[in-house]
Amino acid sequence: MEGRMKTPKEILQENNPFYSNTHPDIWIRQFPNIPSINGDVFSSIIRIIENKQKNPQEPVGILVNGEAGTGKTHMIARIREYCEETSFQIKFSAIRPVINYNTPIRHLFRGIISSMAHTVADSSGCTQFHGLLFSMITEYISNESENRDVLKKFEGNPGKFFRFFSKFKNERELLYNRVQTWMIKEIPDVYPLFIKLLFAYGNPKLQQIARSRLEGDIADPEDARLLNVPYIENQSDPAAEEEARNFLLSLGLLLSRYNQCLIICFDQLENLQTEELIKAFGLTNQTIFNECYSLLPLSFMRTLHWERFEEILDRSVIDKMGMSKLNLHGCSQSQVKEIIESRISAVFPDTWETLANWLIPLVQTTIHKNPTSREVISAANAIIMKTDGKDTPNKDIWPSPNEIIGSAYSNERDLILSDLDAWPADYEEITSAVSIFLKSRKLPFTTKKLSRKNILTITYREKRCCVIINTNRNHSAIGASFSTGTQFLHKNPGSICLYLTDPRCIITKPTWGPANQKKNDFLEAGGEILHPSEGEIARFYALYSLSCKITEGDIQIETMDGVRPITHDEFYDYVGSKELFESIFKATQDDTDIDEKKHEISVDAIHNAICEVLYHQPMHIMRADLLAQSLFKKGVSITHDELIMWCGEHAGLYKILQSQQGSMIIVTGKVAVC
Amino acid sequence: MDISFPDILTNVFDKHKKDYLTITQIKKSLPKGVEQILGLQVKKLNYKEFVDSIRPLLPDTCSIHKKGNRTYLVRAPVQNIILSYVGDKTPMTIRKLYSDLPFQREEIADALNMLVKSGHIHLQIITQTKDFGVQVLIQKKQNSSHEIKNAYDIIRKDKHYVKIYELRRYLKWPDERFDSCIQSLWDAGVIELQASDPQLLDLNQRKDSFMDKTRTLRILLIWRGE
Repeated sequence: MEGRMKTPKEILQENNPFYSNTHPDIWIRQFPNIPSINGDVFSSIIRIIENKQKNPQEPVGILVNGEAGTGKTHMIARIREYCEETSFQIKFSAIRPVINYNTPIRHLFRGIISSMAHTVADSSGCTQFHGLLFSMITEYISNESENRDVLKKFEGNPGKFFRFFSKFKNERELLYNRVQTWMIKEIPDVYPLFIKLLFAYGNPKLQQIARSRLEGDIADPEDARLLNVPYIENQSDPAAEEEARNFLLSLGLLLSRYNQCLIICFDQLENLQTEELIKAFGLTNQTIFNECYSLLPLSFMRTLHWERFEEILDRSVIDKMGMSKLNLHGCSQSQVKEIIESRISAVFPDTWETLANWLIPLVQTTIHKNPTSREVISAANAIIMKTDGKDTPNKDIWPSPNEIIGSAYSNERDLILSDLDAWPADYEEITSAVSIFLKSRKLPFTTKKLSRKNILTITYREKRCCVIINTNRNHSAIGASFSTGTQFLHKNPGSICLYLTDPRCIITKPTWGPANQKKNDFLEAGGEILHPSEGEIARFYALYSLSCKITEGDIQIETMDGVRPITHDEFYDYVGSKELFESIFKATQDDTDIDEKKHEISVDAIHNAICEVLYHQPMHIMRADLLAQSLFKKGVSITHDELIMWCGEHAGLYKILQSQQGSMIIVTGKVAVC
Repeated sequence: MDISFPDILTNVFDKHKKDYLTITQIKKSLPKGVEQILGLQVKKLNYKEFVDSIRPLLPDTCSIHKKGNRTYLVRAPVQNIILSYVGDKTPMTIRKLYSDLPFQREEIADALNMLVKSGHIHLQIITQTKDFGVQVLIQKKQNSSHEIKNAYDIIRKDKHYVKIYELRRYLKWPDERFDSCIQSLWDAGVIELQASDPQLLDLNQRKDSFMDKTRTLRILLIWRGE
């Protein structure tokens, strides 16, 4: 091999741009858009959005039907990009499938918060919430003739405004107080608590607790005091639903005041597999249509699944949801060419033409008319994987279901870890992940749903284990969880009880006397607290996310007999294998040492070290685990997980590409950084 | 406006709603202006002179036939006249065809043989009171694409797609014919086949869907009409 020029196939096999055929993350553009693919659907959506801006009270919905691989998630990402182009005058949100049918409105509003609190690209921490705050502040200042000129220096840019005022905290608070008081008077129907919490969100010190309170969580009276809002003890489900509804209505009122609107994209709806969940989804839409201004729901669904929804939901909801029914289609020959060229040029910016000229004719001869984007990418991948000189693919080269699921899982985990903000602490999703794990390991269990926490009880060989899953930040709720665990341990001597939460949720504060006492009782009774690291919790969310993708038919396997979706049984087999899949239950890691080392290294030093390694690599791309090892040799101690999170935080400079061997890091930003 | 003799003849045939007329009928039906075209006064011409004067002006599709005491001008080839005449009167015996149309036995026989050969008609032997007769039946042209489109429009109602198993069951074609027709329409870009979710179908519904060359089960059919 030495001295010989590599063939196009060999080059593509080394850094295969066609490995992944799913759109990994709606917040990141990994490969360029091909505007003409389903361009008519996109144009129709934009037209409807513009109409909604003009008629905020019109109850309109959009239904986008498309089979697996036709580009549903890609279309959501395109809509997000469009919203970004409007500087988020059109707000964007994406909602994952509801799990608890008792609280659909809270689920919806949590999803909206998660999207609106997601950092906007290249904005130094600004979010869509900041944009909304800026609209209110701008209107207020514009009404004051003596201060109107102040706005000029911010050039309509919320980022500039909030950066400027971060240096003048007292003035900022004074301004916030005046604006919110004025706003509550201006819009009598708005829920004052919502306005208060929005402005608290604009204060970096209160941002996290304000967000939690918007989600219906409050830790203790101290946090309520900081936010200057009434303290609420544990909210019942109906009370939480009512509050979320009021927040939703208020958000709509605010948006309509500024001729803005919020796009709500419902994706992965095939995961609503029971009648209750479908009805809960219907109720969500009904609330949006009948009660809210300026909210535009877009439902993305596979065609035949919609037939099931039509059978279950009320005609009035169905009619409004599907008022504009759009259908995604396959690609034309020229679009096939564009897909291949754009993918190759993203990874091989200098040599893409030769590679594309080799690959395109081969793909075109293997695919049928009007293939889906995924079929094009899969066909390209299959050609790259073929052994030279053979007409049929090498049997040994085709990955097994375990290999496909293994790399899909590892890629999914890294994807979540790189953007953990898009996965806020969620006990329902963690519960789903634990259930998948237990089912895979063939451990019989029961699930008890309590208010805002779940308890799983496993019985195995006459032994019992209780897992309490809680992400509620309220001190009473946390204390009650420990009490439940202690009672279980007392009633079931010799049993195990685990308290599991998300690393972003505190266990207890030192000031919480009763809760700390209950925690100590729990530990003394033999209970164990699982407070996973960010890397560990990403494993839970990845299990849940992968399960949803499998339901959608998004994880596919290429076999000698053709392409087919991975099944849930294959997924359970993989997770059930102790050799392939490590247990999700691990004791809390002590990562103090790692943190200390990380703080010793400056941000620039890490950038420089990464760039130095990657610029010596062909195409400036390298596997994340190998990159971490290379950095270690250069004196930069950074784990694989930390590297992934680092690259996620600096998404403008680095891209994380999925590959069969795991995540690949590629430098895409300006060389000046290095 | 200039008008040609063939145009005048077309008007005459259309007026009579027939594809053939006797020479006498033609002569009587010609408009006055025809004398300028022929350069002769039609009324003053005898039968033979009239035929001789129009013969050079006849379009290629027209021909003169003699049957019994009458001479006819026919405006289309014999096969077309037969197909058009049998039309919705099918089935019709050859005997009746011969008695109604202005053609000789040989002409009828030649034309029918050609039509059988080209698949436009088929013949059926029937029993009659004393002996056997032969009926002419029009073979409806097999246009699979049209039939599929018609079935598609009936099944889909207000949807933009049909399930392939429903289409197959509706048409009740032999599997080979259905599959090859679907494949050729797909290859031509007339239809788009989508995979959808096989788990929503039972075993028989899956069996009646369409397995493509890559062994992917296609469940939905969308008419693109390109």
